[in-house]
Amino acid sequence: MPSKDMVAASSKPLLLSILAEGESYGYQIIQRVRELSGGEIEWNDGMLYPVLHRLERDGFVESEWKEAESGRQRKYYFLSVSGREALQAERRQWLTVHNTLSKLWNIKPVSI
Amino acid sequence: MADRSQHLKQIMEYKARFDLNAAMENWRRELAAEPNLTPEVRRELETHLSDLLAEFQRRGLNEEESFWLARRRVGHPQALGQEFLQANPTAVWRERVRWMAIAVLFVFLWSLTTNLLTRSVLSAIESRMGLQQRELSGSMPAQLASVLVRIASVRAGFCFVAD
Repeated sequence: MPSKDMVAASSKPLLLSILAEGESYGYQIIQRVRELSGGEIEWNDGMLYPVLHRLERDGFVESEWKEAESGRQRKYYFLSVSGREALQAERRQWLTVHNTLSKLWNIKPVSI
Repeated sequence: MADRSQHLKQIMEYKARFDLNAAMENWRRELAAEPNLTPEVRRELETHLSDLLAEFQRRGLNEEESFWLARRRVGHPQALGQEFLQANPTAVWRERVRWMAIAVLFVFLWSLTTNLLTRSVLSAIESRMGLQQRELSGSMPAQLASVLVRIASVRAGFCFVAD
């Protein structure tokens, strides 16, 4: 299971990538992270919101209150144009780290 | 005697029964007591808690178990407040300064009213007792100075936020 620091550091690229799939709300994002990581990345539910709000303040995501299918009002987050650019930058950085480690561990590197 | 113990049993049963609405209301109050959580954030957290509640009940937990588990998953209100303060200190401070400004305005209006009242009472006494105007006017510059200090402190607060 990744350490607390690893989880915190990967929260930005993870959130931006999930929102790149389409708009989503807090609860759904947590479910998606759990599903993608096979339960290995456990986010503290409430702590997701300060991170989302920080991304919003930095202009990477935007939000809107909308009615969900259940009839419940939810705050949906979606990626902004600068969010898409930030995601590309994050991707390059993470793949650089990944490729460096891959060479040491004899794993096939990926193209950035 | 038997009647009394029956009554006591009823009270205990009543107390033991879990009231979801009351528990939710308590939780809302705890969130509202946290100054770093804005009403919008509280609404968002409440939706999340409701989603978790529904999920746990779907999985077969009862109302009470679901509530406590959901509550724990969302996190402690104080810890959440701290996280929000770190995530967006300016927004939190803007909210605080707004309330401070309202409080200062109240104090200002209140002191203005009491000053006027005091002055009218003093002038009434003065005219009764035939006191010299010079002896009373000494308090006026002090009042003016305190008002100016208040205005300056509000301005300083806003400048701080603008930074």
